[in-house]
Amino acid sequence: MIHASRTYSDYSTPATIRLLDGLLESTSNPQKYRTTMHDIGIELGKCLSESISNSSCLVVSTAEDADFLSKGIIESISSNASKLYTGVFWNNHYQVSDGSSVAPVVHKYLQPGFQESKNLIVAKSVLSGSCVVRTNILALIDELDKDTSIFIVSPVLYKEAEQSLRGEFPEEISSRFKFVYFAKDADRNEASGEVTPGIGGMIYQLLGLSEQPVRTGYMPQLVKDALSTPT
Amino acid sequence: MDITEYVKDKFGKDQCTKMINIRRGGDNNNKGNRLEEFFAVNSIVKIIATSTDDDISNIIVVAQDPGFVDDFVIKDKVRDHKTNYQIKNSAGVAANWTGEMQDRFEMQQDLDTGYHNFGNASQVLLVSDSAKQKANAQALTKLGNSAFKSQFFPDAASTFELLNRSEELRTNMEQICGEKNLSTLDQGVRVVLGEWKSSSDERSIADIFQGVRDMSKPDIFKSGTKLEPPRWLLNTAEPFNNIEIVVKSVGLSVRYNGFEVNIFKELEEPSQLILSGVSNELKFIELLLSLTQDDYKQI
Repeated sequence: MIHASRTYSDYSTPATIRLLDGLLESTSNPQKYRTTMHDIGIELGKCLSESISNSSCLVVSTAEDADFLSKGIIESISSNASKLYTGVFWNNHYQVSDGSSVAPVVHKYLQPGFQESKNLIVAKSVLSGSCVVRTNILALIDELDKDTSIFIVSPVLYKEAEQSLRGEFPEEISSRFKFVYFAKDADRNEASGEVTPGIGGMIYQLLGLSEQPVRTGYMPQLVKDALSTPT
Repeated sequence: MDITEYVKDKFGKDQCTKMINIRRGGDNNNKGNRLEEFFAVNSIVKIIATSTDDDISNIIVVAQDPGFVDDFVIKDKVRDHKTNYQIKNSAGVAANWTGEMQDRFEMQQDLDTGYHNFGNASQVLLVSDSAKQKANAQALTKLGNSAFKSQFFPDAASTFELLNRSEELRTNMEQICGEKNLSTLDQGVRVVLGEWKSSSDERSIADIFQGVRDMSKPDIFKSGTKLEPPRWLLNTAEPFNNIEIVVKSVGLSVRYNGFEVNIFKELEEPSQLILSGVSNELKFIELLLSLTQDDYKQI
C-alpha cells in the first residue's frame, strides 16, 4: 500500500510496514485488528530490547491499549528487562471550552513497586496531539527517579507530535524522551485530531470497544490478571 | 456617560483616540499573548484560593477593558479596589518604565476613581524579566506614587512549565484541588485557561469558577462538603482485607493492589442482586468502574 503522506522510520522493516497496512485492512474486523496491534507491539518491543537490556521497566498505556499494543510490548521485552512493571490509565479525553484537549486520569492501575523502574515506556496506539501521553507522564514523573529514561512508543505518529510533546516539558525532562515508532504521517483531520491514514480511525471502535474505557467500565484482561494475582 | 466622552472631556480628543487605539492593538494581540493568559489564570486561581464564596461573586475580571492600562483588570467590589495590569512579555525596552507609561497610568488612575467610581485603584507594570522588574520598581520608587507598582510574573512555554516556575500558582492550585499530583494540577490550569479564553466578556470569579467546574470531568476542585463513603460501599468492601477506602479532599479513592478507582460524585446504590455477586476484590473494582462510567459520558 502506498501512502503519499507517510514516511517510515529507521525502525521500520518490510514486516512492520505490512503490519501497519494490516491495521488499515482490518478496520472492520476488530479481532484481526487486535491481533495486528498486538503483533505491532511485539515488533516495537524488539526495537526497545537493546536500550532496556537488564534494567527495570514500567510499561504504561491507556486502558484501551493495554491488552493489545502494550501486551505485545510487554511480551517482547520481558526476557530483556530485569524487572517488568505495568501501568494502565483510564483517561477521560475531551475538549474544553477554548477547543484545546485535556485527558485527566480518572482511574489507574500501577503495579506495586513500579517506582524502582529505570525505564518508563509509554505505549500509545497513535500519537496525534500530545494530550494523553503528556498527562500520563505527568502523573508519574514525580514518582520515578530523575534519571529514568522515557520511551514514547507508538506504531504511527503525526509529523508534529514529537515536537509538540517535547514542547510541553522543560529540557531536563524532554531530553530523556526517546521516540520509537514505525511511521510518521503528515496529514491529520484538524477537527477530530485523527491522523490519516494513521491507524485507520478511532482506536475504540477499531478494537471493538464502543467508547473510551472510562465511559464504559471496560477492564483490560492485563489488569484483571494482575489483580487476581495474590499480593 | 460613555467612557470615550469622559476621556475626551477630561484629557482631550488626542488621548481619546489613543485609548481607542490601545484597545484595538490589544484586541489584535490578545489571542497569542501567552503571558497575559497565564497571568490571568494565576490571578483567577489566587482569588479562588484566598477568597470566600461570597467574595468571588463580587470580584470581576476582564482583559482589554477600555482604558489606558488594559491588559488585565480586576474589579474588586469587596475592597472597592480596581487593579489594572500592563503586561510586557519582554526583556527589552518595551518592558521599561517610561514617561509615556506614566501618562497612561495617571489617566487610568483618574478613570478608575473618577469614571468607574472605585474608592482605590492600582496600576501595575507586569514584566516577565526579573531584572527589568527591579529596574522598574526603582524608577517607581523615585516617582513616589504608591498606586503605581511593578511586578514580575514568569513566562512559560507550557502549563507544566508554568506550574514549575510560579510557586504562587502551584501553591494556590494545590489549595483548591486539595492535592499535589502534577497531572491533576496541570489539568486544573488547563481547564481554568480554557474557560478564561472561551469568553472576552467581563465575568465574576464565581461565574468563571462555575464554568471551570462544569467543564472539569472529573470535577477536581474542592467543594464545601467532603464525599463520605456510603454504608453499602463499606459493607461490600468489608469482607476483603486488602481494600482501602480513602476520603480525599476531593472525592473518594478505593484502592486495591495498585488499582485506584476514583469516585467524585455520590454513587447510586446498586441492587442487592448486583451486590451479592461481588465475590472478590476484582469484581468489587469492576463494579465501581461501571458505577462511575456515566459521569464521563458526553451529552
